[in-house]
Amino acid sequence: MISKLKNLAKRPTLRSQLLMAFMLMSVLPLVAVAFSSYLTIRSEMIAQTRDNLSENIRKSNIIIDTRLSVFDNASEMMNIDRQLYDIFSTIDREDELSIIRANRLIQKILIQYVSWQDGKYSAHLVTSYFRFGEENKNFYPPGSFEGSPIDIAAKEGKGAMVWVPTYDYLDMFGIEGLRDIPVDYHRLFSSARQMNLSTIVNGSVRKMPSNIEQPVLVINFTEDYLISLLQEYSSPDNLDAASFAVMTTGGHIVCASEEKNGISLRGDTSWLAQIPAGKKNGSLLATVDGQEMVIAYTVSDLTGWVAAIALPSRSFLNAVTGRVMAITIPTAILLALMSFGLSSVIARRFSQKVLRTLKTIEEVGEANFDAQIQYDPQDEFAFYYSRVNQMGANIKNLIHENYEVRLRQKDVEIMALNIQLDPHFLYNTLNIINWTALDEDAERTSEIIVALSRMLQYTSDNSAETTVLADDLEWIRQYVSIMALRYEDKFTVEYDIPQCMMEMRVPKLFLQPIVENAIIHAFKDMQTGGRLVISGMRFEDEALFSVEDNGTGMSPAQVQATMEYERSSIGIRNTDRRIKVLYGQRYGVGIYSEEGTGTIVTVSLPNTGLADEPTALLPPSSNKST
Amino acid sequence: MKKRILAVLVCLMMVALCACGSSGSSTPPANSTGTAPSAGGASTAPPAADEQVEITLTFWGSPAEKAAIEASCATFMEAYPHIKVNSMHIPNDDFLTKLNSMIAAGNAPDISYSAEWKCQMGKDGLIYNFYDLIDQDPEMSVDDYLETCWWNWSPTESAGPIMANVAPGLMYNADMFEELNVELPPTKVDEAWSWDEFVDVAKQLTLDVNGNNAHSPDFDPGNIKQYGVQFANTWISYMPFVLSNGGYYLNEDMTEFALDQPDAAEAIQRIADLINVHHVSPSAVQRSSMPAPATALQSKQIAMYVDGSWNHLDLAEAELNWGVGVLPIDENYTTFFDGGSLIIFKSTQHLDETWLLYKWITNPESSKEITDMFQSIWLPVHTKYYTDQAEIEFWASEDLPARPKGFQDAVVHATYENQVRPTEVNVINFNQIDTLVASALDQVWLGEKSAADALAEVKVNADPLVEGTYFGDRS
Repeated sequence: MISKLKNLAKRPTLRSQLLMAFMLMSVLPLVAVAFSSYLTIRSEMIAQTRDNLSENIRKSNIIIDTRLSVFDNASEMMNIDRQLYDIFSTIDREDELSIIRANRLIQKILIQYVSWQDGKYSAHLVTSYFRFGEENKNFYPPGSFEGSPIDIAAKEGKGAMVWVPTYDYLDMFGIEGLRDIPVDYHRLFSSARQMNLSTIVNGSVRKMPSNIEQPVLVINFTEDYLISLLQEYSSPDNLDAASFAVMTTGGHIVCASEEKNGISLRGDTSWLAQIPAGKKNGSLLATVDGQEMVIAYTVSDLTGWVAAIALPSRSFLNAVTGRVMAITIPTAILLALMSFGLSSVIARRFSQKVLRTLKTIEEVGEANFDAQIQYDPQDEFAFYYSRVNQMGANIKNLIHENYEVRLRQKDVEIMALNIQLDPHFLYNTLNIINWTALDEDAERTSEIIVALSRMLQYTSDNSAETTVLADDLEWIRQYVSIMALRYEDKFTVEYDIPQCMMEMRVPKLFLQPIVENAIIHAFKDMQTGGRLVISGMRFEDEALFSVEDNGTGMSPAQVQATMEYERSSIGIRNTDRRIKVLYGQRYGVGIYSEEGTGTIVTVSLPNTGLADEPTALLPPSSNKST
Repeated sequence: MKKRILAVLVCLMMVALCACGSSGSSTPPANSTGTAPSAGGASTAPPAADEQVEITLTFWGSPAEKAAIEASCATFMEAYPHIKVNSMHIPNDDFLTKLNSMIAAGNAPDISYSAEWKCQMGKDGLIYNFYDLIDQDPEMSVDDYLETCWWNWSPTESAGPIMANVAPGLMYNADMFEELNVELPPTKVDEAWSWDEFVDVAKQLTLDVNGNNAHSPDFDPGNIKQYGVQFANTWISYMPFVLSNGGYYLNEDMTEFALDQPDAAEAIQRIADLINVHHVSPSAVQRSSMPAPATALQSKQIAMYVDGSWNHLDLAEAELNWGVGVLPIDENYTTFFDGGSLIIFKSTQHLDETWLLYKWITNPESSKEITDMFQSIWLPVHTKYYTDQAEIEFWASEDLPARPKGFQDAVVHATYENQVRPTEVNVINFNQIDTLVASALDQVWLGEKSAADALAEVKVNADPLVEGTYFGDRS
């Protein structure tokens, strides 16, 4: 697969090149426009969200401040409550009944001032000896309130309302044993005021005697209360993803909404440092927990705490991305498909134009040179087609020149030869010469003519490729006798061929070129004493004939030349080729020669042709007749 | 070239779409038009689904009860999509004040939790007579309910049956018993402790900071680390002892206050003695620096707590090894179920929908949330849930987390078989009288006066308020 791709990359097809070109031209501009419009919308949306959130948090903080300031105002009024003044100025802290009775009254008074609907968790007037107010809420172990951070803050406030950001209640008051118990006051934030009870009697202010312990008003709130207020009043339409928090400017969390999508303002408050000094409202872009957030903030005039609403920018940008993608992706796919289709169509049309010539080329290949491509002269490929047609015509001319012309020439030559070598005409002529020679007592001439006549009869009688060895040897004897007359006493011929080989079939005249070669070449420098031995041997799988002479011999180069198309020895080469054609490559002619000593030419043939006459040389196992 | 033009066109189109989209807002979810499942059968056909009505429920209760009520209102709204329930949780202490201000402002809720003060509202014609409402619903009958559970302001006018019962009982932290090798409280009435046995156990369970128990001569009552018992010090925890001891709230003629009588005062005095004589129970002042009783039980500051069964849910959620026992009353065991009723204000504009909500909340089988309530914090008010063992198992199986072992004996059977009409339900002007009594008893709990003396003093102010009982029987 990969190699296929690599191959494609190296040698891109026409279609893939077209496809690439179309894709580049269509998809790239699409992506570029989509991206730029995304960027524009993105910055616009961020700006819009910042404004939106700022306005939101500012308004909700006003509402929250109003809600919380109820307690501030109410507790101010409590300071001059006549009944409270009376209760605390007459309370006997040693008398439990007095305390309990005071508590019943104070519970009712507290309800009037800090009523149920303002979302407080509890409200108590706390003294070192008793916690006045609601029962079954949070409690202060004996002695734990005095000197606690809330108490200290209230005292430092010198009568002003102080706000204590969320704290661990159990730690604050050293409560043991409730750590694992689900009480609803584990985490509270509080407002506290050191009460300074006084009353006006007959037009004059009467202060509480300094020896009477003034209570501290502690109003407790749960984180949930504040966060639910924030969420209730500042949740704009689609801000499910918004996180809320209230914290001190130092980053101490008063409350924070639940973690949403892995983001909570509870953890990372480093963005607080980005708020310009003295700025009460605003918005900023910050990275919280690795996410880009739009954070709008406002600083409360009442508590001095920072209320913040944060929205991960991806929460509203996802919609933009989604919308851009919703259009870009289908369009890109559509364009890609169109590119694919168009490139396929164009590539196919192009190939069709080219492939149209294929049939014609094939026909030309099958020698139908008259095949022509039919085409419209207006076609853009007309020039190409005309060239292909031209090529067919040219090939036809070439063939005509090189092949047909020569064939005809050969036919003419053969006809001429046939006429010249009419065998009957030759026999008759030779017969007349023979009789004439006998009439004139030219016996030797008659012998030559008879031998020649027999030789001719043998060669022309039988057009078969092979013959029996006896017939072929007889022809050789006639040939040798004629040659012996020609080269008087120059050589003798001996035959050493077992009788059993005489019936085997051999290629006609297979020994003649070898004998001729020996007589003409080997003995050419000898006047007398030339000796030629023709022998035959049978082996298990071949019959081997040899023609051995004691003539001049040949150098290795001459031997090689003889075997390789040396003109003077063309007969030997032909014999070798005939044998190889008839019987296979393992058979053929071999020449072994030594200069000055002589030459042995061997002819190996398959040991066949005597199947009907088994010899002792054949192994009994291959004896098919038994 | 053609494709390039096309691409540009598509891009332009897309930009236009984006621009439009960014200024628009998401579409609101389609109005759900699902049909309501039958919740014990709706007697009234719901109006057209597009006619949204809003009803207000005011209620009190612990955070757990608040969460459960809000959750059941949510499932109710799912079942009846055309009804929006505005559930307002008001802390118990502030409840009547808040409700009163709402009524005064002409902004009364449609349906509300209620205490004894509802009878006055009935007399004032502010709320519906439940008998009129139930008569119109063929699925419900007055006879289905426990006879003792009716809140009536006259023989023919009712503020409804108790919406869900609670019963006074003894709760304990079993680990504290085991640590001190003390036998657990009995769960059967036949085996109930006598008062003296109870005091003995409470003493064993009360330890000072040095680990001495209240039996020890070295016991230091000024530095107590863990208390044996705490009483809620409300009528619901002392009245069973008063009644069992032969005392009554009113005299035989039902013309006078009778808690000052010897049998009644004796029972109350015994409880006060736990604090001041035996030092096995914290005083009011000590309590102000202790967590709330259920939490104190969990944190091993008290071993036993006598109060209403509404505490069970808190205890169950704390995963505490806790249990329930019968009250330490070995003779004439007398107790009661108690509870508020849901009242429907005549000012409601949506009586049919309010009635549906009434049925939803009071039917233990209406929804999972309500069933959970009846399996943890509430006890049913229908008779069948006490007489048929299969029905008992439905809500009081001791396999349920808020139903500890022995619950069926100690709470279900002990209360059902020994119940009288609850004092609060029966005594006319109970709330006013009880306010006087509670104030007077402060002195008793603090040991400054005997119960007999303090109650005798109250009698002077209480007698003018005594107008007998709503049902005519002595209470």
